[in-house]
Amino acid sequence: MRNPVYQGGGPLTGATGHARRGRRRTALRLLPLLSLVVLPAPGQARDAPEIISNLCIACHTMDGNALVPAFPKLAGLHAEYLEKQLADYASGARKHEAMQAFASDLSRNEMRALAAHFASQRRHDGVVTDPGLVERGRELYHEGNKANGVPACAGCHKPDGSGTPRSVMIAGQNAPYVAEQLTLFKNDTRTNDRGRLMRTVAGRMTPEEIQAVAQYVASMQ
Amino acid sequence: MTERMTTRMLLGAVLIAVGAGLAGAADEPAQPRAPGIESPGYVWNEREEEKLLALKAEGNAVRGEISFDVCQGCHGFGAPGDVEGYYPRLAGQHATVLIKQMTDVRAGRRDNPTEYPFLTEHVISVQEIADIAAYLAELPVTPDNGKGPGTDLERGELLYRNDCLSCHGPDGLGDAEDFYPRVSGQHYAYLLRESRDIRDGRRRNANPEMVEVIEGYTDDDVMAVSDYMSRLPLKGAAPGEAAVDAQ
Ligand code: HEC
Ligand code: HEC
Ligand code: HEC
Ligand code: HEC
Repeated sequence: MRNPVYQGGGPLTGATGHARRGRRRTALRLLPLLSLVVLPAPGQARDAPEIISNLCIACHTMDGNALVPAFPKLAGLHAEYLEKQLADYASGARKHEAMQAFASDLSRNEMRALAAHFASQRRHDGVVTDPGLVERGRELYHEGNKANGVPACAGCHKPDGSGTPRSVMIAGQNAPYVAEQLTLFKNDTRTNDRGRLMRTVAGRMTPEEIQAVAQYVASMQ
Repeated sequence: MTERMTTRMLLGAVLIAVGAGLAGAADEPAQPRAPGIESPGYVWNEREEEKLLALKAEGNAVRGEISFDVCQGCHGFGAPGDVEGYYPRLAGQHATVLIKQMTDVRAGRRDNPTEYPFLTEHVISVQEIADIAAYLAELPVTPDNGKGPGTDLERGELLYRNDCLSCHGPDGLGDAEDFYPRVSGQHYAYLLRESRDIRDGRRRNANPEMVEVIEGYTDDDVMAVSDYMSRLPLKGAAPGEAAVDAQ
């Protein structure tokens, strides 16, 4: 995924001091682009709606129901999970150039407020783009696959996909995002999962299973 | 071809191999391997540190239910396993037996590489082992387990009474204190697989006295006795209570 805002921007990767400086410079260069940005006085926390309308709205929308299929919906996700993800982006434990830049400018209190805001929003139904795959995906979600050792997703994410504070809600999530994350887990690129659980699960899945289950997840209400 | 070129090409090949490895599936936590029944000096049910700690810990069934969520994807909600017996039923098994099996898998004495990544210390703490065992031991056992073909039950019963009853009990309830598993209500295919694996030395944490008994069994004997066990009527004390008594 390429973030349009950052195309051609400075070096944003890595956690080295050099890259960190690069990121801060980029963030500064971006400031004039972001209308209505009010720089907070040191120690003064901005509230969630203010941050979202300034920084997050273009990709995630105000209520966290991202319209662009490659961006995750945040609405209804568990607050604990959202806060952990923001902290992981900021520390580099979850790698994503754009999200790291946004998250590293947030204080812990702001992360908590943003997490609470998105957690309390109502999630809109997902969009199935390949209905032919839904049945295969349903089977995998609820039964797993004994042949390659994939456990049923339902065990951790619950049969209705509503999840738990540890195993996040996935029902109705955008299918391309789900497929992308499963692939990142599989390739050992997303590595912030507790105890390597999702890397183990996705590592056992075939690319076809990933596409099928992503369609089923999007169909779950 | 100069020596340096060869070295460089070799290095290149190694880097490509490493790169290919990285681009492939994520490496799963690999199960360790500890000596088992195949090794001289094998001591059955040796209480190494982790097993001892888990057995001493006071299991909390409420917390155990939460911790068990990473297991449900295979063992199912309420731990019924599956009737085809690929995943065993864990509901109603003695807490001591469950703790022994879990810590044996972690130590690498019972091979189960498929399950191992979900049971590592990074996922399940020693306290959680005790919690999960307490939770599972209290779950009800229902009569819908997978049954055998029912073709040789008389012989099955005879074999069971002669050779197995002394440990697994007249009703197949096993014994919590002695770490004898409950076998009633278990799925036929699982009972069959384990009996064979124990006979053939594949289940490396097996009890040597049981091996002695089952060593001479033919495949037909093992099928008949497994069939009989899968049809044992469900009666006797709730195993959860028995397991609590033993602690
Ligand atoms: C330029 C588009 C963009 C903007 C602006 C943006 N995000 Fe994101 N966000 C993404 C993308 C893309 C991902 C998925 C990244 C990945 O693969 O890890 C993501 C992921 C997330 C996640 C993890 C979701 C999950 O299900 O794991 C959270 C939480 C999040 N963003 C919050 C925010 C907040 C809060 C802001 C504003 C401060 C923000 N984002 C601004 C594009 C954006
Ligand atoms: C053993 C438990 C477990 C199983 C089984 C499991 N998951 Fe997960 N999953 C998790 C956990 C825990 C996380 C959160 C990882 C983190 O904290 O970053 C997660 C995260 C995810 C995410 C990322 C969500 C997001 O918003 O970024 C997706 C997508 C996902 N799982 C899909 C699946 C699918 C599909 C299956 C079945 C093939 C599955 N999971 C099976 C535990 C599990
Ligand atoms: C990926 C699938 C999978 C997951 C996840 C899984 N198991 Fe298992 N488990 C199995 C299989 C398969 C067996 C049977 C092994 C055999 O045939 O020897 C088994 C056997 C067992 C046994 C032995 C039962 C007996 O009667 O001896 C116990 C106890 C157990 N599992 C507990 C757990 C616990 C607790 C968890 C979660 C922390 C868990 N399992 C997660 C697949 C799984
Ligand atoms: C000396 C006592 C003893 C005798 C006799 C005995 N067993 Fe066992 N059996 C055990 C013990 C102990 C275990 C658990 C092994 C371990 O420690 O992991 C076991 C395990 C099993 C299991 C696997 C249960 C599970 O949940 O994984 C089966 C099946 C079984 N025995 C069948 C039999 C049959 C059939 C006979 C008679 C032919 C028999 N046993 C005789 C002690 C005995």
